Amino acid sequence: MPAQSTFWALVRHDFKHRRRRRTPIPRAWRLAYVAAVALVLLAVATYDGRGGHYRLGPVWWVAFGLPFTSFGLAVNTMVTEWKNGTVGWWLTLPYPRLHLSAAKFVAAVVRSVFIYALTYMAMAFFGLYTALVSGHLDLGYTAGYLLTGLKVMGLSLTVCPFVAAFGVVYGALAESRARPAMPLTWILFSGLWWLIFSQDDRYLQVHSDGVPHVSLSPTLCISIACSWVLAYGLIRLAAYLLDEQLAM
Amino acid sequence: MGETAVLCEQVEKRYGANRALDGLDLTIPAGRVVGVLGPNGSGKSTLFRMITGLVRPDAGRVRVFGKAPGWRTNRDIAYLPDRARWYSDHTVQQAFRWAETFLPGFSREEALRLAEFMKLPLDGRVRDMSRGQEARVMLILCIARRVPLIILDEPFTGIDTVSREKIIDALIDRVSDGERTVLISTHELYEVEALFDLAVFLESGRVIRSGDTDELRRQYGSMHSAMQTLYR
Repeated sequence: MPAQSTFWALVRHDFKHRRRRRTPIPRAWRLAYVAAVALVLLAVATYDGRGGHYRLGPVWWVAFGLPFTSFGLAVNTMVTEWKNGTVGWWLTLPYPRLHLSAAKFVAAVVRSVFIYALTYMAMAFFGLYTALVSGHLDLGYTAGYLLTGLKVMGLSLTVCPFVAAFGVVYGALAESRARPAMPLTWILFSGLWWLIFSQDDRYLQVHSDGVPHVSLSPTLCISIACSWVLAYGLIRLAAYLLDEQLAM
Repeated sequence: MGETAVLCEQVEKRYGANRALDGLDLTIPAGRVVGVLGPNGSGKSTLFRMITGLVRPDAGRVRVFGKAPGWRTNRDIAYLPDRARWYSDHTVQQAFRWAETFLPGFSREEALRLAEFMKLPLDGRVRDMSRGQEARVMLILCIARRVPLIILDEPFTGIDTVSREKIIDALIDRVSDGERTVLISTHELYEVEALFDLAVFLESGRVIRSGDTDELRRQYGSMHSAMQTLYR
């Protein structure tokens, strides 16, 4: 099989969410939880709409919490190989460790995109439903609400590669002889995060009604490009850890 | 002299204060079935991990068919890791598809034949299987590959007698053709010693005895007696 198609086959394999080996929560229970949360949100949205509180623009701030799911997904896809006892199969595959770690990274980013899309659709539905209940739904409000969400979600999504790459390194570190360096990586990560995104007031303003407003600027584009270059470096670092520093 | 499958020269590996391999010298000729024997902590799994490039030696030299171990040499190695599990969401069919995609030399036809021989349900999901059935799936993933080196690290640990017998039958069926080098570590010497052409006895990360199994039987009476004498 050509190297490129093997790589995407690895991504497909890693894309599948694998829980740690323990008694799984039955599907019916999971669906029941999802339905319960949806019902609560619907009730809150109805209550808010009837009370005249229909401007839900500030809810888009939730987008800035989503990069942490990318981190969690990336760490999980790495450490489950050890926790589930499949690491010996994975790491003896006849492919460079850079491919193995990059496949985990890509799978985590693609899963993040799905989560972003689902969150966006859910937020869009509840926001517009609230406006509908309150009788304020019109084309202008709908377009403004959806566009704000798209911009904020888009901005947040651009951060995911950096965060997911950090997650892959973190997972590799946890199983390597360099494990004592884990607290240090958090310090470095926080420092880099601050360095890259500290000037957020240049591209992210808050309107008087609490709605985030994104404006594209050269600073923003450079920051995002830098974070992607760093993400590549982090993936290479993960490959090095898997190649040279495993504690097994 | 025939080709050498695995060569280790003065190999050392330490984990903190513990020396897993301590100046290990070993030559394994190609085309033989070799029992790598020894008590827990004697260095068997570390040796196998080194041959498959999972760990690197702190000192010394390891060669697999003349090359340094790594992802490239793993094309030629089918490896069943110690205490391994399989992806629990896979069915047997999916496991075979996975192997077809990622493991060079994997024969689906051969795997299906072995699955029938070992009475494995193809639609059975690994998470619903017993440990014995899961071990059979993993063994098939190794022995259904046409590669020059097969490494099985404790393939019988935690496996019931019925599964063990099935696995041994499959091994006899597949690996005794003299075309492949097979390294097997096991504590279940009674059941598999008939498979071995050669035996290597390890203790504290060194080879304390190695040789032709017929010769060892002549010298010690049986392989079991050899174990008892060597690890007294």
